[in-house]
Amino acid sequence: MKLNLKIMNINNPQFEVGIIGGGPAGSTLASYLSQANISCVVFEREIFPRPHVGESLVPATNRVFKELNFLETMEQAGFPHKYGAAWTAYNNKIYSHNFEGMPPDYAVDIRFDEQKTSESISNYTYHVDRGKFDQMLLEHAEKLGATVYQGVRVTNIQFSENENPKIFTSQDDKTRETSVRLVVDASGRRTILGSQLNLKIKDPVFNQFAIHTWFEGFDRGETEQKDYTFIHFLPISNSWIWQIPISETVTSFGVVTQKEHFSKKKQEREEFFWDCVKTQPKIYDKLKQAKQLRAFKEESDYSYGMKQFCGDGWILVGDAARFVDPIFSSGVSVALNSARFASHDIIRAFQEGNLDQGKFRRKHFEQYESILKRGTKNWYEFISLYYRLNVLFTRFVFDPRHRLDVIKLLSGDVYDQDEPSVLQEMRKIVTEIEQNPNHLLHKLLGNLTANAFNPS
Amino acid sequence: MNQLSIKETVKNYIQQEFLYDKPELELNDDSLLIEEEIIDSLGIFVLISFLDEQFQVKVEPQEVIAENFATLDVITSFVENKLA
Repeated sequence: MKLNLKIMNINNPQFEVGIIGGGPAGSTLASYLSQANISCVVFEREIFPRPHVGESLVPATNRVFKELNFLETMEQAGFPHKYGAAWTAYNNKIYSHNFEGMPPDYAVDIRFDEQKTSESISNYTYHVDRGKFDQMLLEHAEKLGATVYQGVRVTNIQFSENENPKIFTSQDDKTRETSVRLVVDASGRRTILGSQLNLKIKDPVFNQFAIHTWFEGFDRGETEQKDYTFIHFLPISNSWIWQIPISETVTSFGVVTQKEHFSKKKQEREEFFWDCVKTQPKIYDKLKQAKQLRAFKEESDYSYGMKQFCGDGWILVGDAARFVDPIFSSGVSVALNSARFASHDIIRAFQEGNLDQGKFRRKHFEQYESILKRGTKNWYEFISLYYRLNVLFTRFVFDPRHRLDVIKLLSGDVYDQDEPSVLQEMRKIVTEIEQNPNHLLHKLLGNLTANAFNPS
Repeated sequence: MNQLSIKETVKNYIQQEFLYDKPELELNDDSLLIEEEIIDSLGIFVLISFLDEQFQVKVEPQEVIAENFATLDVITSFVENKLA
């Protein structure tokens, strides 16, 4: 792409776009920009690979993999294919869904063998070892032309009216500054820019906590669902266990609960993990026979929003923009798709040459802002209603009247519609049960309120 | 399916699912299932799934009230009406 020279009327920066963080959001954006020949630099604090939570994907990520020519790399990496998800209730009953009927845009359609004329289209997504996946995606961005620094920490960002934004970094006690036209915060839950600009608002409803680790040799059985994500309901309200296949032999387990259930003492928190697993005796017995591979890791204070997603000279993507809850494996998908939408606005601004004296303004991201608002609002509503419906949610997956709409949501298709009709239907049912204390399912409702929290 | 078999099927299910640890408790056609807490809320949910699987009866959210689930007799006529 040829850059329009009309925009170059303030000193040219060292890079057009500076990206803070080399996780999936940062490396996806860097890949899209590099494909469009827009120079960009990525500053990653860690040296990859490094472990990370958020190992299960949804089909909406496939669209991004396809556009970045990354789908084949995903296949070659041998990550377990995820064909669906299953819920187990306390009575050991299993409710499962697969992605059949998900948006065709999200289908995996790889032609492995060039000789074959027909493409094989499959309704699946992946479970990933985030250490490996994040490294692969970052290397992909580098291969496409992005400049990538690992082990470099961003310490501060400076904006001024007469100059390009500056990113200050440090490595081995040496400080450097880099000038860019646009700063992208993809720093994940560190929310570097959101914190510096005081944009962060803690979610008043969700205050969840997670404790998780990997096990080797957990017997996932031989059924069709053995490589599904499993969500095991716990008898404590709004609490559940995730079971995510990482490889043939390794399985990730995590307990998610409200923070109030967690003790301040680390040892007691680990006991809590095992107490929760014990409520599902079959899982407990098999897990006790498996070998724990890593120390327990904890995640907290991860539910927040931002007052705005973009401004003059900056934009937030992925977790740095918003994170709600891990229940529907939406994290990586929001990272990839928000980076994709952000890249559209950035590339368009360069193509149309309509920067304001060489500067990015908030108005350049109008589309991004409205799409992301809509998407995160839909995710948030879905997650809130899910927690309120609790076990009753499984009714929606099985009701043929709603199944396809629910699958669309579970696939991560949340950006096009103002509000999917199934969310309205769920709200109607929640209200019905909520308002009638004599309703026999009244006691089953989870105790998180379904009032949406819309900071941006 | 005749009345006896609907009632018998539901009765057997309730006995297996909810009363397996209380063999001494006698389940009559007019035993108060909800009031006497033979079936709790989660149990109702499980029972609804069972009615769906067994008789292809779709229970609407507004129908999940004591009037339709109070006793074995009541459940039986509820299912019959749905199937009629």
